[in-house]
Amino acid sequence: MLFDTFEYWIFFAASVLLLAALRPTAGKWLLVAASYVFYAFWDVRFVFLLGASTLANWLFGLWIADSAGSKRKRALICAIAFNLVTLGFFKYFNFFVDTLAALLHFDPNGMVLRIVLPVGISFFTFEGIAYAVDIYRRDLPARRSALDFALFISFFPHLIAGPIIRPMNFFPQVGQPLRLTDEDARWGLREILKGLFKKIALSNFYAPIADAYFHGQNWNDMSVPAWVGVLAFTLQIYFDFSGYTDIARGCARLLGFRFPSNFERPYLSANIADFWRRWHISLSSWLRDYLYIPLGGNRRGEARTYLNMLIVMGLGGLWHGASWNFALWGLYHGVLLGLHRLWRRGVAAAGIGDIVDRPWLQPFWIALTFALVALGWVPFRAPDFASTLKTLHALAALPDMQLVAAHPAIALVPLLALAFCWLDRDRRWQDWLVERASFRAVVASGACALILIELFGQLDAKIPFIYFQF
Amino acid sequence: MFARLLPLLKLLAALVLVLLVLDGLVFRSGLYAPWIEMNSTAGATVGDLQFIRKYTHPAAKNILVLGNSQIGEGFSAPTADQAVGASGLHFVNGAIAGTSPRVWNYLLREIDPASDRFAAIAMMVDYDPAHWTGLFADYSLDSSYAAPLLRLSDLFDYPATFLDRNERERARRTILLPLQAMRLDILDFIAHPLRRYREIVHSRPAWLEAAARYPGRDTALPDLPIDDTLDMPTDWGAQGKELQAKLEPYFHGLKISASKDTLAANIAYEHEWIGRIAARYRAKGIPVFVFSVPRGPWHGTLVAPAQPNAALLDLSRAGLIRILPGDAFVSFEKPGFFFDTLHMNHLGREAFSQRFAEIVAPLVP
Repeated sequence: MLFDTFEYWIFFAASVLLLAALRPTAGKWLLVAASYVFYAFWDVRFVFLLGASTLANWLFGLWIADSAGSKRKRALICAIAFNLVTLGFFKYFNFFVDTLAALLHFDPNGMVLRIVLPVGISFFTFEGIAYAVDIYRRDLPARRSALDFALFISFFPHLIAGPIIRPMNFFPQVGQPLRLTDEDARWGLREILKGLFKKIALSNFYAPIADAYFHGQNWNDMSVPAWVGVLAFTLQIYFDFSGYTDIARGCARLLGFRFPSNFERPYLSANIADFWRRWHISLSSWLRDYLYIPLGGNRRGEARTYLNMLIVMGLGGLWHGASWNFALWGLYHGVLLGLHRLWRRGVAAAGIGDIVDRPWLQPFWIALTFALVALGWVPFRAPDFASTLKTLHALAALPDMQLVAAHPAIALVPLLALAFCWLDRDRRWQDWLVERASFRAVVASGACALILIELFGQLDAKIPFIYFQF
Repeated sequence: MFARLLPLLKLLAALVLVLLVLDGLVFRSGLYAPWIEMNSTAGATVGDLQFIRKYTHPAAKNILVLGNSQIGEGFSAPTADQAVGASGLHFVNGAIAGTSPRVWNYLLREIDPASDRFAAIAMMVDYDPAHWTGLFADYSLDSSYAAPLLRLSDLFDYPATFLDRNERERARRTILLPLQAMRLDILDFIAHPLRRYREIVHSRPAWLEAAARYPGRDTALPDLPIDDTLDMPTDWGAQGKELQAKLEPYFHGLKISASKDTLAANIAYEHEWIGRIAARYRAKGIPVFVFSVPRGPWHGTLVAPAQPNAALLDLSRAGLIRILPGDAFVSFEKPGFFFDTLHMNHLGREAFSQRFAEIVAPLVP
């Protein structure tokens, strides 16, 4: 049940109506049941996995909370191990076997299992780990209600592709009766329409262009298709994932929950560290809080700081999928973060910070960061190392005049998006729509958005959200 | 419950209302339809509506002949008119390439809402659809052809006639979101407004007249010697390999038969849609004829005349339709009457139209 299908919106409307008719406790039961139904639409077998993972994490939480000293630590290790083993088995088992076979030169066919990746597993296992660690750190009391915990893990707007919700943000919102304010309704609808436009009109437009390049057609190292293909994927993944997140946040709000922001116009970042503060924020902050800081962060000397960056980003890359290409993408960003740190140190040492940070230089830094990020998407999207190298080789040649023959929307959409971001700087339009605009203005804006979705939306495309595969 | 959701419900209701009003004003009112690009599928339907309206004579007994491109190419209304002389009968060719009875049903509802515009309706029908391996019910272009004809009241009935889930969803969207259904046409209009204006204002009237005077194509397939055991030509003639490449799929196609399920589904489709059309006209006592159009250039030699299938016989028994004999036009199933493996040429068009008019005329009250 995709967010861009009629089925989903009928399901969602029924959920909202029923939730509004129920008392808070019954509402929680409803949301858990609806979330399991939603999950069953993907693959009914994995409902049991979701249930078992939920039950185990809830029990681990109680065990950690009720233990002290070394027992408490042991309980935490068991909780983390349980989640990592679950994730490792379903997501990485074949990958490890294949890698081992390649290293030790044996035939992996006898060992490889036919494992179907349960959707959302990367997200709900990370949420399970966050819950256990937060209890261990005494940042959060263990949730005594299994129902509350089941809702935290399974709540359908974030179940399949995040954002990765932190328990301390979620639990205070559980059990509140649903009573939507004018602001809730406007905010929720705004995010849903924005997300649908990003996905149906923009991401679905770029997807076939990126696919045409990366699906292995022989482009003979020509630079124009490579540039167009990489740019198309760069835009596709942003519109796809941020569109998904917008819809998820909008739906959550209309169900009485607030999700944190997951994207803050990341392609307008002026450096790579800034990019990671704006891209998939729920993952990058998770990696920071539950991996980078426990590894020592930047408190254990320079060399260890750079090593930690590489470890965190490499594992962050692998989190996306069982492929060395994802690891390469993560390591590439780790290297960029390290280089950026070195650069800032150099700039500070040379005392040229004022010059480097001058406003008129910002477009240059933004363009440079965008280009580096776009380059990083090559191993992320390419099916293997060979295709990655081939694409990078093709990109190395500057595009010729054939580039102007590419579909005008390739360049027009980013330019229009840029113009929109400039006009809507500090989100003043979007905030105005929610907070101050008249009812008529809101309806007119909503109608315009719907007309744009109808006009540019490719509803027949049926292209799944990219992050569903992670 | 509603009080808790009031701000959301108010906003959604207003949005739906605005969209319905906009859709109503632009699409459902018929304001946009005449501006649809002529050569698109929806444009073909609009062009056909205009053609039928223009060439139906109020004083005459109009006989509307419906079909796909086989009738578009193979039937000449002026020739048929000539064949029946001063009988007061007037034939109108309402064929649209690529369509079948589902689209004709909605076309007739639009062009003839009171079912009293025509003295008779004649529809080409596949008497024996055994060679169709695809499902008529799931023909995906139907929703594109029918887009200018569908109404909100069709929201449940029309999509339900598709067997495939994706086609049903697409059909539902076509009705519910006409802007989405027409989006490529609208985007093209926005990109080239002057070109569209010229096309509609200047070219369409000329196109309608040209369609009325269309004589059919001059070229003909060569008469090839056929091996009776293989049902294939023994010598491909002067054009050799080129002709062989063009015709071989036709000869192979004669041996293909649909699965039982597909055949049953296609027969059910004919029953459903011909039945619906016929039921509407029976109330007014207007006859609905079905006929088997000349099927192909060598069908007359290699295939037995088509016999009406169970659906047609059932509708006939119920007094809903009149079936013209399956062998009525077999004599035109010769290569000299065809310019390709499906469509008749000028000669075929003339001969068929004359014979068709002679058979139908005495049956029209």
